[in-house]
Amino acid sequence: MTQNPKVRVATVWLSGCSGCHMSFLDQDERLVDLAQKIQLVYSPIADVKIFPENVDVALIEGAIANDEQLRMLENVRSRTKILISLGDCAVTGNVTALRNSWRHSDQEVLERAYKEKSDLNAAIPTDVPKLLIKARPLHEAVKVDFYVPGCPPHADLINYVLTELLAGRTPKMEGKTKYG
Amino acid sequence: MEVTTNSDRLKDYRKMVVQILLAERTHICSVCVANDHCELQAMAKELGVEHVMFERNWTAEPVDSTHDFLVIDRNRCILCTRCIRVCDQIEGVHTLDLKLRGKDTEVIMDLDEKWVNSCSCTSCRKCAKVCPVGAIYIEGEPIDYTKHKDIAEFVLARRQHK
Repeated sequence: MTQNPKVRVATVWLSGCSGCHMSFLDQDERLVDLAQKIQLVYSPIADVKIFPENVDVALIEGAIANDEQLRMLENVRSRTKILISLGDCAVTGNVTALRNSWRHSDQEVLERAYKEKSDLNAAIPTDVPKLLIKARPLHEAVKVDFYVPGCPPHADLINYVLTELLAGRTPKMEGKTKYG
Repeated sequence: MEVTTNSDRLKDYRKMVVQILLAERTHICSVCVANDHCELQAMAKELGVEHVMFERNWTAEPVDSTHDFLVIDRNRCILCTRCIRVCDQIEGVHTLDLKLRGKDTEVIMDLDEKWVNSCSCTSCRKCAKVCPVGAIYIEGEPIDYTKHKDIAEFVLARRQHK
């Protein structure tokens, strides 16, 4: 893929529960084989602050729920060849998008959490990234190349997709993936 | 005459229909009572619908949990009307029916009563048994028990003896 012998892989954690990353780690001893072929250049489990250039594969967990994540996703897209939506939150919105049924869900969800349910110092935080009106799956903001649904996607499925991509094949998803 | 029931073109159409069903109302499998026992979810898996290309509606249809144990969550309803037909043709009371048209269509009890106020409902649970998704379910009962496979044979047997 590049002059670099190892494929540069990144994993990103947006609005999700980190369960998909847990499932990624659940590949267990297969991670050792994988580590021969890939280099993890950015991940919540590898302390890198800035998303690097020239990434071959990026696995993204979680929906886009605030403006910082939207900027992050656009940044990732511009520096990545193959972008994969990992898990139901990234593919459909899932639990993160439960608030979407409210018309002004960005305001109402904060009112509910920080004012109605608070019995001490009720105030909506202001020095954090602004929520988007609706939580969105990734493909509504940027082009996504592959989708791996599941809550979380099974470790076998993540391994299948990665090994197929590393072998230069297109993973076939019929009968393999399910939501939830 | 040769009839083709499975081709790439037909598969594309089927995928499209499943995507439209998923986008029409709020289907979130991971928090649904029928997760792993849902015909829509199984169909999406079989056809390889790994994402929905349409923007979802994120409906907030009314949920009726007034009945002692039967609950209807209209956000999960795909309007297959199986519950209406089982209520009318097998149980023979016709408590359930549809109101309105198009995207506003809803399953209702009697003349749009709350379920607890429905005087014709016999609480026979057949609606929950035939629901392909998690729209009608029995509170506190495992979904695999509610949707026991014998129901299909039972319904068939009742039809033939009628």
